[in-house]
Amino acid sequence: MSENGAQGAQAPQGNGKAIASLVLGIIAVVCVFFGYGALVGIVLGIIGLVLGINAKKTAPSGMATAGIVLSIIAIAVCAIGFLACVACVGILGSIGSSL
Amino acid sequence: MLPFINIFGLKISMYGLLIVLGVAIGSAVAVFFPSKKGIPKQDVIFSICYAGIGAILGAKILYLIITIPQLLNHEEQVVFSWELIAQLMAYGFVFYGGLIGGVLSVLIYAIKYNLHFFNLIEILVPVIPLIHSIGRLGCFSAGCCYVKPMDPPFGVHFHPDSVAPKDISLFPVQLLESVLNLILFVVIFVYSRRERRSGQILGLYFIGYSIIRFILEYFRYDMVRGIFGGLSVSQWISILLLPVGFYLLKIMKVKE
Repeated sequence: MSENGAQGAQAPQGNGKAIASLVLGIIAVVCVFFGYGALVGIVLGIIGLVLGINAKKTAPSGMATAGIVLSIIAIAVCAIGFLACVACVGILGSIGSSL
Repeated sequence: MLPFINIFGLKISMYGLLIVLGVAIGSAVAVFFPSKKGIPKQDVIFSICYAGIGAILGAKILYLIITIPQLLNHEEQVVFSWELIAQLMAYGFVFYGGLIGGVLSVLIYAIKYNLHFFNLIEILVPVIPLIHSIGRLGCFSAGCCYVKPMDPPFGVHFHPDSVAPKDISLFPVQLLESVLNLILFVVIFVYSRRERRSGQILGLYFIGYSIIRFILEYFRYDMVRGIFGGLSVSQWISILLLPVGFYLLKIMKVKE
């Protein structure tokens, strides 16, 4: 009975994280269309990914999986978009790029 | 060697594209050809996500630690703005920072979800040089991480849109590092196919890469190197990493 109670308490918490992950993943994907907003997209994607993984580990659900997948796509697309966006401006070209 | 490609009218950076491609290929290899058994595929995928996040943060933090003091030294030439901050966030990553951040993130994941750290990290270690190898092709395309001028045929002229100096031929060390990383990947991948004690695969990687990086750093010519005591930050980290690598190998041999 107490085990069921613990699972019942975990499920809403995991569900909340799954919803948050999904919402953050969607917002992060949209951010790629707003130039420097892609930086925000990467940050939101990272938060969404961590929340999604946590939700999937505690209370597995399709929503958590969708949140994880969307967050991964958002990070990848925003990373490509943001690097291109900055490289086009290229102000820091004289300072150096990667080490 | 093109810094950008056009896909459906969108100008896409080869640097970002190749890094993302490298991570995707490396992740697929880690998931489908794991070097150690007993870790669920889901945990391998999630630990790759954690490692990726840690790598991004670590690589960026180390870059900022090196770059910000140099920016402050040239304060009169730099206009501080939101755009500059955004560019500092996007432009420049230090590999060693990413490596340290990635390993720490996997450690956090292993502790949080009660998994054996070495079993988990040693599934990911063999693919690090593979990802790095593909990522260095991105550096070559962008023209960053270049080395000292050299006449053709060993030196090449980078694309005018790249960040490398124009009108001068430079030795493409990015390609050399890419090939060396590919060789390191093959060596570690083959080594990891047999049953190994915990820590040995990680130790072998630390030894191999720290030697490669320490030597190649002598040829680097890009400006932000973070030189301390005649050696670059990456060389100092290589010096610290080499004994750690031997330690991991040696300890496992003693246990055997």
